[in-house]
Amino acid sequence: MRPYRFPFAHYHLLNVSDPVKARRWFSGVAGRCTSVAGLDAPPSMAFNVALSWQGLSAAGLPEASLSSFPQEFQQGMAARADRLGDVGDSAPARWDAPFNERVHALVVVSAMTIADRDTASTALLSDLRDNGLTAVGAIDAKLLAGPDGRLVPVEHFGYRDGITQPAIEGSGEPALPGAGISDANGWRALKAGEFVLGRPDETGAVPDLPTPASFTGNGTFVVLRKLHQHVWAFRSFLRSSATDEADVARVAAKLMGRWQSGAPLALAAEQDDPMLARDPVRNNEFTYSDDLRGTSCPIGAHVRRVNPRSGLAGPNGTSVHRHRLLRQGLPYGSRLPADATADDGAERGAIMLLVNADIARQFEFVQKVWINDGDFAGLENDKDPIIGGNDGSGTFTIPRVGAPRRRLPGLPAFVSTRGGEYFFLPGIAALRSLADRAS
Amino acid sequence: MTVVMKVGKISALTAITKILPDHAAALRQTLQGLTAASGGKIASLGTIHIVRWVIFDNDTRLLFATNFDGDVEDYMRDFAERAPEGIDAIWGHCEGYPGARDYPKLRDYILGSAIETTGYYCAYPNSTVADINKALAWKAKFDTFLDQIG
Repeated sequence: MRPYRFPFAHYHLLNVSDPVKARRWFSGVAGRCTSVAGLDAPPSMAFNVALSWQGLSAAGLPEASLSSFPQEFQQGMAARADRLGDVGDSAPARWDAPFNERVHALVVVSAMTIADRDTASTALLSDLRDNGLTAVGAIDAKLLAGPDGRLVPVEHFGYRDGITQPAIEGSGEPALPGAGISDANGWRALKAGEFVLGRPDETGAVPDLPTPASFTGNGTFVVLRKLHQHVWAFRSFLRSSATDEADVARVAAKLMGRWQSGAPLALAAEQDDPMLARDPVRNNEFTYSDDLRGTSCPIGAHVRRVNPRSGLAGPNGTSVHRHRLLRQGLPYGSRLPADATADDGAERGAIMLLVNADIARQFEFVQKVWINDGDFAGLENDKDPIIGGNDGSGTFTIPRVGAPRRRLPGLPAFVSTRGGEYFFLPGIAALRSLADRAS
Repeated sequence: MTVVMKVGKISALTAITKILPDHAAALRQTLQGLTAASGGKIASLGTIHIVRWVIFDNDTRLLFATNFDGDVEDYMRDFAERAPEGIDAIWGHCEGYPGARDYPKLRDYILGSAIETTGYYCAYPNSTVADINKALAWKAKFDTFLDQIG
């Protein structure tokens, strides 16, 4: 999966009402699906189908298979709320429909044009009724328009998004500098088993997979997060924390670890460098190993927390390669105008799809330890300043050269969880076989 | 998880496992080697305040009692990620041990053999191993500074 390869998407949430018909439908659509490995092939559209544990159960997968899936997947995202920091305003009780109940399946329709997407979605929805499936919700997501009206890969807070993806062995994608793991010989791709079941992972071994392997092999787990963004609160915080206009841009860059252009502080610590930001060969080529104190990029900056590279001193640095995620994100809702003078209360945010082979070791670890707990990096109680579960009492620490560290107090939450679920994305052959996998 | 008692940022876990027949001598040697030289590998994990192993019941059982930073799931997973061979070298001498490389099985094994902590007190519940080591390093630097100006 690659972010923003498709500027338009619909995330359809479905429930199974008739298991026999639904299984047959899932088998039938396998031929239309785009596999993780083959995402380069279809240029204009992509179609992906994934099922939650509740969905696999409702579709009639045998009990022996259902009980072999990992505990966190069986429980689902809402049941893991305490662990994920989905409390208070982010608690499942506050989630938007259809995530207020457990959904069964996710169908992602992605396209290069809005017309193609809408046509495919209409066809999908008319197809469901006679096939044992009920549509319970759809999220309309698309890139935001830039100042000249053209679509740009920028999220609601105004930062360029989707720069870093882990390079994966055998994906066919060139490994850009900064995309994989930094070792003595430069950058190398991650083992496929970190993202695909039934392949060797970073330990060199193939981990046990849910049974039967003929169904789960070549599959993966997809974590969906619907994250509301408090854009007005974010802008207000920047204005009240900064000393002047230039400092607004500087504080924004320190919180993220990149300037809004996408230029990384690791390579452009003092001022923005839009040329660097636009160069995919250079804009990611750094490890933080020369900035362990965080005087260029704060240790607590968002991009550094969710991908610490070689920038963790001490024992926490050794398992960084075991906590990587493949990300695909698209905004939903309209942009809050730059000249807005008040919060318009509109719903806007990002739909994140995070792909990993082990939800607990990868997504949940990142969410709990790297995002919501500062101790892994000596940050004490500082949480991720952009997506952490702050409550108005959060702090953000900016180390400096030749001056005491600057600390920004009073951090509120800039993001609230509004829904989500754990899904299993079967390989194409496995999805095709679903018709025959009844208990 | 009632078998894990947490105070502030520090958790306590106690587990008892059965030692395989004739394995006690090798286990004793392993544990003595592992904890020699200021903790060696254990110290390098960076989250363990104190860990204690006791071979008892006439060399038939092993008691494992530890105080560590964070939640047990993170701690054990992290431990298994960084030092699977160390875990194997200890509990490989015990009955029913599934190996450290399958994390869910390891978790079920350790938590399944854990016993409830009845009373627990910690003098510094909100200080991690890293916090304490950092404070001690600052204290040492400050003393050096005072020595230099004095």
